Amino acid sequence: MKLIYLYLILVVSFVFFSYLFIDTNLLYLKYFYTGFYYDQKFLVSAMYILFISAFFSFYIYILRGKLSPFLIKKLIIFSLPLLLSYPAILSFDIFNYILTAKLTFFHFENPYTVMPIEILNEPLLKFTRAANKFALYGPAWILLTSIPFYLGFGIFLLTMFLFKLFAALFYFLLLKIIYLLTKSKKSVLFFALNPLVIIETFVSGHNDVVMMAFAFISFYLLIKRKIMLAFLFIILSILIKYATIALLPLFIIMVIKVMRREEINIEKIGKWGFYSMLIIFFLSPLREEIYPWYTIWLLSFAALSLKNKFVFYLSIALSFGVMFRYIPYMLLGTYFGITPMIKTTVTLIPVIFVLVYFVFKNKWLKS
Amino acid sequence: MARPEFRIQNSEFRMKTRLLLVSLLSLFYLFPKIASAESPYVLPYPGIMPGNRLYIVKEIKNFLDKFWYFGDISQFKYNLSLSDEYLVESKTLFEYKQYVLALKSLEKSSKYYVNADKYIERALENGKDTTDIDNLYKNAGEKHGELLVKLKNEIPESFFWEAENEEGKNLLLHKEIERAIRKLR
Repeated sequence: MKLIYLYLILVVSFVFFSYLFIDTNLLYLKYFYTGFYYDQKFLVSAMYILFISAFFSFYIYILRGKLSPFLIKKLIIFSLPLLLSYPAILSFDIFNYILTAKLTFFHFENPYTVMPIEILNEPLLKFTRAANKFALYGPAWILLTSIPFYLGFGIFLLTMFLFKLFAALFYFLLLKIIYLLTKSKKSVLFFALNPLVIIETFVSGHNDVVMMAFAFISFYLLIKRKIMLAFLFIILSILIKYATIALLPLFIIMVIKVMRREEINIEKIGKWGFYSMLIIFFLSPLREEIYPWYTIWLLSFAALSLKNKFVFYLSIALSFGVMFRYIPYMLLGTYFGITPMIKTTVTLIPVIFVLVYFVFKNKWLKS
Repeated sequence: MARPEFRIQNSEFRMKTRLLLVSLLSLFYLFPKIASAESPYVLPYPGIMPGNRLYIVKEIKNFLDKFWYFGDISQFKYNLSLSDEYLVESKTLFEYKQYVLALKSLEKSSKYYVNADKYIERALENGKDTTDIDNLYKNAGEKHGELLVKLKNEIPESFFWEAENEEGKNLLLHKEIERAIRKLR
């Protein structure tokens, strides 16, 4: 029980920690601006490493123990204060979501033909990154963002927190679908409390949970033999961020099985969904790079396939490793130089450990 | 040993040569680049030309794009890009002496050019800073003007066009080009 309150302290400390990262140009939060991150990059990076290690230690401890449903719910609720954190500690994407929504629903411009930077007098340009690109996300996402955008009534801070809350709602929807598919609390716990999922959703407000929620609704509807609705949701999912296009072969196989009235094995869906998304995950450097929040695609499928130890360990190792991809930029303030090399190393080391463990496991057991 | 008068003449010659060199060099440094009269604005490749079976597909796509490019700046871009495209199309047709088709394309180019200006005004009315699109529009106008003036010098003033089952008509090519130039900013 005490441990749970320790978790709450960790979460609240992280919320305070996040405000050290306020961007110089973010006038809306100028009263909270300390410039601490810019002056103390080493200290901040060390603190970040400690936070991530603490979050993951706690996560592993929880996964190993037996928790009552009441405590699981409490743990998830105790993660909610993270919604109050400053979102651009690790990624500036949330500002991009807001600006793209503003471009579409306030300036009434097509975000696929006009870049935010073309609205020269737009105040959000001062702190939004990648403003020199056309919309990076699918039309379904842009349409959905109209909800938090209009509910924000043009007040930037309210809009910013509403975008985070919007992502959080899809996180809970995804938890519900994971439970409906697996009927396993451990699966829900595995996904719900993974520090990467929590930080990327509650802190950064990334839309990956939205894409995955639609994909999972689609699979759930397929199991319920509602093929047309399932098709609609998988298309919606693809039109959020395009990555779930990799799930189409799995979707077609499932449709065939449903039509033949064959039984659908959720464990297998989890396993093949995991590998399908893993391909896209490792292909992402072709477009830009492997971003830590892409691991949400893998973790959501791994939650369906917890009996598969390889998938289980690999997804945890990967989620742990990719959270360290933020450190070189945090420390050095550049995306160039040795930054890409460090990023690759921290991503691959935990994966290699898992691979080595599984290759030699049988030999060790025999000896 | 050289005579004194010859030595003086020789030194005068050397001085003059040096002076000329210095003058030339200063001219070179004063005007380091040859100023170009041409506008840096780049016109697009015309794509499928009238007469091609697929031209109708291009026209349908251009029509549908009108709805895709919603928004003031978006519409400005749409109209200006079509204006550019039809201008290059018109130039190519003039070069191939397809005067009737060339004039049609020129008319379209002018229509879209004028439309683009309307969207700059609308963007301004909607509180958008139009400095960039305004400059782009001006540069496009300069480039269109350059091309049209050049074209006017290369084609006959008028052309009598005879169709098989229609009455022939005199095409006032220079006048049409001048009219298009007048519409430019």
